[in-house]
Amino acid sequence: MEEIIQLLVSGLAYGSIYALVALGFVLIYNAVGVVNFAQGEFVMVPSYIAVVFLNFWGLPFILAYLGTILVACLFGLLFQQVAYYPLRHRTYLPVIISTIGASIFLQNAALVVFGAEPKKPESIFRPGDTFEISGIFIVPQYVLILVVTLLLVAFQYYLFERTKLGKQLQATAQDKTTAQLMGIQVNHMIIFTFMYSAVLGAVAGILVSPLLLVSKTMGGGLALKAFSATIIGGFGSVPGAILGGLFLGIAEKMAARYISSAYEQAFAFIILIVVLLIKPEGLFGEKISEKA
Amino acid sequence: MKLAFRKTYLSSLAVMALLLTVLMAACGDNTATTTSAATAAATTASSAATTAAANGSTTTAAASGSAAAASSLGPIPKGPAQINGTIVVALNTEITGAGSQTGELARKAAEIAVDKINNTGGVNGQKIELKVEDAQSSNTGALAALNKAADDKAVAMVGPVKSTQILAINDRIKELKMPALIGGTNVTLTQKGNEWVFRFRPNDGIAGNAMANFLLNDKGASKIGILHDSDAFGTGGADVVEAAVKKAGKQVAKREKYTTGSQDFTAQLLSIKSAGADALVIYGTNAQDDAVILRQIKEQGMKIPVVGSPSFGQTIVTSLASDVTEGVYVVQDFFTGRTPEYNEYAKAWQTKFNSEPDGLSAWNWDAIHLLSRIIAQVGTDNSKIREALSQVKGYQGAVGLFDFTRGGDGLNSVDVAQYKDKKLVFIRNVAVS
Repeated sequence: MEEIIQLLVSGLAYGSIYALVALGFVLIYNAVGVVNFAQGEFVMVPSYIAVVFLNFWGLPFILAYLGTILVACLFGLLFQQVAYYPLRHRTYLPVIISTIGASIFLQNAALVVFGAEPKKPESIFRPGDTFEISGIFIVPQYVLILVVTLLLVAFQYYLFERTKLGKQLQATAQDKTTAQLMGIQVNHMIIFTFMYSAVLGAVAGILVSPLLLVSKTMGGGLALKAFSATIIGGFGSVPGAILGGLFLGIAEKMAARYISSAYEQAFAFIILIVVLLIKPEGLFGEKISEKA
Repeated sequence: MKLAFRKTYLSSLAVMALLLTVLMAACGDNTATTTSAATAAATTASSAATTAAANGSTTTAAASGSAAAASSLGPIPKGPAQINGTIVVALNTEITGAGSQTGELARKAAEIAVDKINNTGGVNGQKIELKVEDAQSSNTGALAALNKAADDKAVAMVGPVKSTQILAINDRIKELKMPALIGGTNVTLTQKGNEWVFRFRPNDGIAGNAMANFLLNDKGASKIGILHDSDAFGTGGADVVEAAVKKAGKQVAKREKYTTGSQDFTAQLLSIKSAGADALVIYGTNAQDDAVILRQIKEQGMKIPVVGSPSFGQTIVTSLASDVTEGVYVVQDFFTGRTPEYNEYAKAWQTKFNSEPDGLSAWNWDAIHLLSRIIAQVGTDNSKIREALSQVKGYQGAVGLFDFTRGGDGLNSVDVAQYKDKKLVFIRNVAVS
């Protein structure tokens, strides 16, 4: 029993990270109709920024993290200007290729700047800070991940459902032309979406890098899992991305423990294939025909 | 609209598949970079060599084909071993290609050995001339380098260090009757019925046996947990550990594996913990994984003795996980700086190159020193050199105590070290019979 709870905690923590990255995917997809293949780099780049702030400059945590989020906003803006904006009137394909190009460029830039050896960012908690409750070892970083993700999701719900900005973003996602006719600054909404998506990536990076170490390829694996999560949850659906991420995180840990640890990394994709076969619209998604 | 949406959706999926391929390639690329970057620390190369050796059987076939082709051109004439009064020793190593970093370090180690011998009177007054033959980081390149060594009338060849290359040129070594002083660590290299091959590093089977014996005998463990990388090196190592534990009449509590680059080991560690393991062997390949594993062991509150494979001794582990290494045991080919012979090597290196000496390459120094000593006794005839090498017993080199009377393996022990105050300290030498 203790073991199951422990697996649940670790599964939820990793699931939250998948969920954050998956949200980034879905928001950009809804806004511009293109999957951003550089989503993993939206995690990797801010993680390196955090390493610079924490390890190289020795800033206190709160400053370093706020600074990282600020830089992530600028990064999202820049990414939008360079990789999306010039191609906005073209079909989806050039944009997709452009995001792939950006991904390769950013990974290699990280290699040139920071070298091949991974970096260990300073973290709030030390490995010895694990606390034990009747045989269950709780890693404080996991708790932090869960709490922050919960707050962020709540904030996002408020933003999208209760504010004028949120309504404008939703309108843009639903129908750009009509939204524009209603006087919404569609381009601004798209810029904002990219920035917000980068912030989600930054938060995921800040939360997960003390566990994974920061390397140029750290984002790739996360992005693949997160992409699976969006499909498992129902592609394009915001709650689907969150639930899909959490589901994937837990399923992965349980399968690794009770089926086979050798294939832990493969389970995400096995689950993906099974979901696509049985319920192609995703576990929590609407039918594609209804949505379009 | 509906159609357009579907189209976008489907092609997104298609491009995702493409990206997956790109990422896989990128990951592979990254591993390679990390590996070559870490050559300064012992044993990365040994793992790389063995991983490469996984392809050994196929490459052997291909290379013996080309070996046959080479020999059909006629046997390479055997001439006098001395040209202009020098004794030629070949170094078969990688000067170009993916392994060039390792090759460069091997060349340096060999150079300082030759300098040392030549500056202290040479071999019975004759100078040694080192011919560096480029294996081009490939099996065919290693074969070409061997043929070139024969053309250069080398009396013996030091290298290669990669197991797969040694397997590839094994037949040609035999044909040319060229004493080969090798550094590859794949267990089978010295079991091919080739009496011309002499290994100057402990083979991969020794580390696994030593890990099991150390935990069972020194730590009194009786239920050993094994966690290993699922690649060829990790699996092979774990197989040896498991066999050694069973041979000692003890049991393996649980054996779990992971893929290189996995990020979370909670499930594996929990499984080992709940199986009631009283000690843990970790056979990792990638030092970055090692660092993460040690962190999570601490986070899971596991307090059993842990012994890690050689990659746990790499500097990456100390730089990424210095706060969780305390008390962890590591097996190493040899503990750097334990012998005066090693210190002599390190000093020579620092004097000539003004940089940190590479421990992993020190066997080249030993090979050349032992060779020069033997040539001084028996001359430059290749059969006599082979004969004398096979009778070496009790030669203390920088990397260990050599005894070739047992067969092609000169070393049969590894050192166990332990992290204390973020530094490795020597615990003891564990010999495997």
